[in-house]
Amino acid sequence: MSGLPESFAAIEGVEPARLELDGVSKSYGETTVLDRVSLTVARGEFVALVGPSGCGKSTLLKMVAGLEFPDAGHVRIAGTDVTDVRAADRDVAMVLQSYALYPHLTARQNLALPLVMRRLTGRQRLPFVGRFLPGTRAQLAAIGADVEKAGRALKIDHLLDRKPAAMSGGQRQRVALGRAMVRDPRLFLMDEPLSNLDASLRVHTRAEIVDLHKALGATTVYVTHDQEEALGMADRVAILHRGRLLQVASPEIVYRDPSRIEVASFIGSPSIGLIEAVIDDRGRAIVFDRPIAEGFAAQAGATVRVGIRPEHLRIGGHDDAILPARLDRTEFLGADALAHLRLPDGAPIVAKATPEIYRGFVPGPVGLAWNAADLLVFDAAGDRLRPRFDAATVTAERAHV
Amino acid sequence: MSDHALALPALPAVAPRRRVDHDDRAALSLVGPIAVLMLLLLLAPTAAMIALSLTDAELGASTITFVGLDAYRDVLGDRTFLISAKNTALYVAIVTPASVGLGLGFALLIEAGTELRGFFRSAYFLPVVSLITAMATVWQYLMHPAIGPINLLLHVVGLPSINWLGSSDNVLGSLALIGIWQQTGFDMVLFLAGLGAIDRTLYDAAEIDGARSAVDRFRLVTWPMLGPTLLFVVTITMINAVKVFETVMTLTQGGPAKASEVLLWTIYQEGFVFLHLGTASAMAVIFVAVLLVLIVFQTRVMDRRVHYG
Ligand SMILES: Nc1ncnc2c1ncn2[C@@H]1O[C@H](COP(=O)(O)OP(=O)(O)O)[C@@H](O)[C@H]1O
Ligand SMILES: [Mg+2]
Repeated sequence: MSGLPESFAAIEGVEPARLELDGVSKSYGETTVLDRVSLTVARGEFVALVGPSGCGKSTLLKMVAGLEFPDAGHVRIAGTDVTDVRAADRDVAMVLQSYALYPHLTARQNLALPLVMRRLTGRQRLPFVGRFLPGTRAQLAAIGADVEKAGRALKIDHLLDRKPAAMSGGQRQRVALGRAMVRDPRLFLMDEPLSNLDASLRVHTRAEIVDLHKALGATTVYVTHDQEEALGMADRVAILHRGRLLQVASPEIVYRDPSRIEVASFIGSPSIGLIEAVIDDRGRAIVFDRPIAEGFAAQAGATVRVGIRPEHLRIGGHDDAILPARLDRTEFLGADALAHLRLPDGAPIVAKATPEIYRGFVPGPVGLAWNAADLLVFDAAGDRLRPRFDAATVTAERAHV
Repeated sequence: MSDHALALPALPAVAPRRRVDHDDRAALSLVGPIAVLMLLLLLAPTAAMIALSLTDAELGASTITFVGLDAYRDVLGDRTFLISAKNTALYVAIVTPASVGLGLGFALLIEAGTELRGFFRSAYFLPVVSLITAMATVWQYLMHPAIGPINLLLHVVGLPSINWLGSSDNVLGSLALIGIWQQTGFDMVLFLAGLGAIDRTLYDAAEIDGARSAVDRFRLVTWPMLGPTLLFVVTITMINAVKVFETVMTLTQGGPAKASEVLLWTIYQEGFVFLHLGTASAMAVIFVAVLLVLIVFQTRVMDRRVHYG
């Protein structure tokens, strides 16, 4: 949209770089922030790094940028080990979480800065004197042209002579984006670039960033705590939880086939319903004395957690019900509606459907039903338990591995 | 206050009158006490000083006559006052850049180093909290021409000894040295606070943008972000320097040969030694006026350059 790809076609992209993180760990004193994280991002790929606040996303991204250094493990960019190379020498572009624009410089100067730093020598950058050294003028003119081009592409050309204080949050965000992309990065890092924007601007800018990535082709690592953003934008999603990388897969796989209970809970909104069950001697999961799923190899008596996505939960009469429940209330959300329910032990669970389906529902006793194939079951340690002999899941598993 | 009350009826009556009156009274009762205090403690003495400067008042004399601007003419033609003004200007011109520069330098060093940070912080702040009159005696000893450790040290390295406070060529420089020693620690602490308030992520951005050297980072982030602090430090330092008095009072008494005659010392002599209240007041008015011009210049003109918000 918005003519972005066309404007960027003129900028000859640098070869996008492949990024490899190999067993990267980091602790601050006693607290382990990152625990043996390994991740490979292919050339030109868009990977979203997602996880709850404080799980170590920014720390990991800074490690890729060269602003933090790992205690153990290696970082390789385009095949070169850069573990101990500082940021200024890594040639990586990054949009910082708070944008970090230089408040005393105009947008134009902010955009020009990375180019000035890289294309001019130390002597050429001297105040007053530098201007008269051979080549400075030509370089500055080229930089000015590049800044104008980036400004037009991001539609901030009319803001170029303003200082950050005179801009809205959205405009600042674009300037920060511009400062990162103006130098044709081979690796593009973004730390929650949309988290300071209001909801409608966020959806709009999301699409623009995806277009930008398509046009530039740069390898991109995009950090967000918003799972919806990650699913919607990325080629692959990497889920970080308490410093450990739990799963890296396409948005569809992490949603449909999570490998850990934390992934299942974090991805999807409203989040997945979890019911505690016990495996009986025939491999069935038992809740409130009723079998709700079967075919598990787990030991009899083992506790498992059975996950049901809200859209897989059907509300019906008592006859075909797998579990009895109570409907507390329904919630109209426009295209969707939610039903807030309680299980016999009082635990809340949410169902989602189109509003027509819940029309006329009144609070009171109901029955819950689902397709066994839709259940996601996890053992006590949080690892995924897959029913034996289930052809569909086995295929999915193979595709994933 | 009364101006505001008088202006009210002229305003378009948008809000109900009673409400406005009520708010007004609340505002008055809140501002009132401090306004009265300011009137009594700041404005009244200033007004009295201005009034006195227009008379020939002398302590002990039985009559006071209004002489208009005569006192000012006398003062501006007075050799001692002019020497005093020149000396003060010179003192300020030495002490301000030196202590601001040193303060910034020390602050940057302390900020960069991790160990001993606390020690240096208190060591350099010591002059600020120590009583300057007491420390002046120490300086007198240090700078003593015969037994002073500084001259002894010079002797050891084979340099000629210097008559620090006793020679009219050196005395202002020596006082300035003490002034710098006094002010540097204070400036440093202010700069440390300013450095601490700089957004760390700007340094991350600078690093990503390719600022490799400490000089690059300083030019790109530290210096511009320190602007408001610098303005404040320079203002405070200048005001403190203009007000130099204690060292002159305890060490040199303005001498030798008026070589360390400074404004506050001259005013003090005129008013409390010669008891010429009228002349002393005129000098004080000129002194305050110069100070005000300095402050207004710095806050109005410089402020626009250092605040980016
Ligand atoms: N410089 C630091 N010193 C100590 N702890 C830190 C430092 N930086 C980050 N942390 C801690 O590391 C954890 C992860 O931080 P961060 O990477 O910023 O999380 P996220 O970006 O995912 O919200 C947090 O618990 C934070 O308190
Ligand atoms: Mg973060």
